[in-house]
Amino acid sequence: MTDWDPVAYTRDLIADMRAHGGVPSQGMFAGRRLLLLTTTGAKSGQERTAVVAYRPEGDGWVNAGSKSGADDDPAWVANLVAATGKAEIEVDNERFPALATVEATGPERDRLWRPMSPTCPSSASTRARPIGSSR
Amino acid sequence: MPVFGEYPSKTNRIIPMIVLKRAGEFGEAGGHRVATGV
Repeated sequence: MTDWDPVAYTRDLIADMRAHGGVPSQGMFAGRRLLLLTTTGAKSGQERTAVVAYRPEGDGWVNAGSKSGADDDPAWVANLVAATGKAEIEVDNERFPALATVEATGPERDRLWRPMSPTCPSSASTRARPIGSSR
Repeated sequence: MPVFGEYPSKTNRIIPMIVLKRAGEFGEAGGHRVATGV
């Protein structure tokens, strides 16, 4: 197996999205709803762009900070908190400033998570912990 | 190295949920908060 280059993968995925109206045209994410989330690194101060899955809800976009089931949050969560929610997002090739609300625990977090969990492969957390439980 | 998207692990942590909205749609008070569930 060849070494996997996450930077190159993300770069190519973003290019593919931008070339196809914001929706990946190939690979495992073909046709999936993805957006580009650009935050400022809490430590580095550098712009960081992440590709994240979303679910539209009302006039917003709901994301899970799952990091594919890793035991720590994706860096963009800390970046959002450090930036008091300020970010830029790109949806369907439209880029604009955004504000984020981070729901870490509690009933609203659980409500937002519930529709995601059946399709999110990193959903062990909901099986291991009753809805509404805390760390 | 696992291939991206193969979900090499599952976690027992509570995954934070994030709601993004266009800036300005939260009103003048701003919309950011980190909910603690308290």
